[in-house]
Amino acid sequence: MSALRPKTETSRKRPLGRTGQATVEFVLTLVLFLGFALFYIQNALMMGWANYIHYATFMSARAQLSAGPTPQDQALRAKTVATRMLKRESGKDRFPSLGQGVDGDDPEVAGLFIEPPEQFTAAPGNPAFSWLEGVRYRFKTRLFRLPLLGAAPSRGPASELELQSESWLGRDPSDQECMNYMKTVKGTLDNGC
Amino acid sequence: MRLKKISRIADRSGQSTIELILLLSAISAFALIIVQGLRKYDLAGVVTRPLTTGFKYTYQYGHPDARGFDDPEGPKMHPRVVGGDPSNLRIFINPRSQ
Repeated sequence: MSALRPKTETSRKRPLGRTGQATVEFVLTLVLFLGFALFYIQNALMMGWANYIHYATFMSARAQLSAGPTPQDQALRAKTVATRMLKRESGKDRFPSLGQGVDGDDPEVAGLFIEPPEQFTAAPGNPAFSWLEGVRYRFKTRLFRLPLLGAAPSRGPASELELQSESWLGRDPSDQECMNYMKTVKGTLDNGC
Repeated sequence: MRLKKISRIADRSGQSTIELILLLSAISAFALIIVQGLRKYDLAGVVTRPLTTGFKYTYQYGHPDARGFDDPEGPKMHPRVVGGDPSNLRIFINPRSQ
């Protein structure tokens, strides 16, 4: 008899206690999915930006390579090119969420190294280290957009990656260095600078 | 007398609550253990190790096993360093082991 009885309002109701199950499952899955998806998106963008930084250091090193009045002028050109390509007018990073310059030998351009490393300065003229003139740029980036796998953005090195781009193109002697050298040979060479 | 007995058997309204509490406790404890384990064993570090080591050196030197002057072990498989480790001054090398 009960099977033939028409369904009432009460019998049509969904079982109690299951009304939010789908929502809770959706939220839990969404957080996990977003964590992984944003991880890949963040790394894809970071690698694109890192590739551009390689180009920027190359352009900067090329500006330093060309001869000029003084070595300081050559370094200034390298700094100007790197700043224009990597920083905003205010001096801050163009995309701080993808790469922030760290350290550097000029506080105005964080991350930029134009001074040769100690191996070069400690052994002047040594052909093993003579190529160490160029531009380096050190930057750090975040790997996670969402706290995933216990790695909050500000919780240690696991959530951060520090990369360094190097471009060693060498440097032509400046006019000043050339003139100083010519003085030492006392006119033996007359090609000038 | 019979009616009273039946009503006692039918009184199970607290069972689901007790089960819910027990289940929530078990799930919470399991989640806590997982989170503690993730932090203790640095799973995020393990997951990101290919990026923090392999990709880092590939980006800088063009090879995941290459090292430079800044690294504590000194230059190794470096494309331009002369001397030191015999693997230095490499021009082309396949990063995959042959």
